[in-house]
Amino acid sequence: MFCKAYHQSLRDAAASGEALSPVLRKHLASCESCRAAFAEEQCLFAAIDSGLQASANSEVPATLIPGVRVGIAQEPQHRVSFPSWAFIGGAFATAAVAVTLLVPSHHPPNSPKVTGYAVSSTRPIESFPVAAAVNPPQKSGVSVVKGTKWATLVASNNSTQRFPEVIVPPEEGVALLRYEELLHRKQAVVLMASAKSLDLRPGIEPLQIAEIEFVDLKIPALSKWESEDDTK
Amino acid sequence: MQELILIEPGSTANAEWAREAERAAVRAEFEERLPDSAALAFRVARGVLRNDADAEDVAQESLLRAFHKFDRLRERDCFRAWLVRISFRLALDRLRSAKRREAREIEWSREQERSRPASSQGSRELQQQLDRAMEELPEKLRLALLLSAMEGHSLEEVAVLLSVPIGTVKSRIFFARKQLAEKLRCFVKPTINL
Repeated sequence: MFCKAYHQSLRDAAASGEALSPVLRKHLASCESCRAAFAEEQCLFAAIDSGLQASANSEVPATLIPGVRVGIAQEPQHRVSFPSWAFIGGAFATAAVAVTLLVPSHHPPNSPKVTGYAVSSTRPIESFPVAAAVNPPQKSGVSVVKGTKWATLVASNNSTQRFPEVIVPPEEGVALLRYEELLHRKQAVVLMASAKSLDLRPGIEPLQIAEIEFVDLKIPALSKWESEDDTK
Repeated sequence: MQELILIEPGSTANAEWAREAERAAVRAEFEERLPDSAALAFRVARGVLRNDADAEDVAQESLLRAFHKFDRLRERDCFRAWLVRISFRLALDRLRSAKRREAREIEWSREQERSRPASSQGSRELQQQLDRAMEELPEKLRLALLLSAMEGHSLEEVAVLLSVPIGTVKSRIFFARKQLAEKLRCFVKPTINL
């Protein structure tokens, strides 16, 4: 047991492993009990140190470095580093999709689930496409995009489509459909009128109609028949 | 072995070659450091895990992670300190898995019995108690004590590895040793009689 006055300082000295101060050295020289206790404490720390060193300096397995080298070699030789604009573009695209999904749709309750209209007004229209509008009828000038949310992109698989499609809100889409129908009707009327005026039939000869001869009608005389009846 | 190089569209061949050469240089530098740093990573991991197989796995993972980010490390002098942190963190993560821990302790005790047939029962028990006591130490104290116990590490080097002042290292080691002594006092029999 340490003397009470030197208990803490001797333990700390043993724990630190540093040289003792002159005061402590003097006390240890004079106090047998403290000397024995200090020796025990040093023995404890020696055991701890040896255990720590045995644990901390264990032999490195021979397979470790080759394993790491294999791991490094298996890594792709070239990691494609995307430029910063790609990340920015991706972030914008993600944000656009998120905003599109979060924006509530403003359709009347009875309206069909037709939300976006892709219009290319330069193409001829064959019929009013709303009735048969299922994602997008390529023959028509107006493509109706069907979906529960706003369509942000019309993916056209038809490689023959040459005209750009415009995405408009659903309210404007109906109006645009009507406008396009009127436009095409008007175009049809104009075409018919111009065809009449131009008289475009060069390959057909005009119909030849022979002159009609008018011959006098010969009416047999009825008096003969009347005289025969009288004789009977 | 033929090496194929993927050239990114839009970049010139010269720039690609320069980048490729830079990568090769980084890899060569890393491989040069590998023997020394592999031992460090393994010992740090083993000090936490007390199991060679797990420590090897963790060391390997640490080194591969370090390799991936080696080109981004600006101060190459800090590589060992950086690796110590990676290895220590990964080892702690693995240690926290309860099932593995139980299995490891069983395996550890068996391994110790096999590897140390001549050692006395008392020292084996002390070693086990020491391992448990180490595990209960706060992380900062444990790592400082572990690094200081490794061969060839002076206090200055431990300070560099932990990126702390030397006085901090001394105080951490001191408190760690005191805590260990309190827990192990009853297991050490006095051998010196004055």
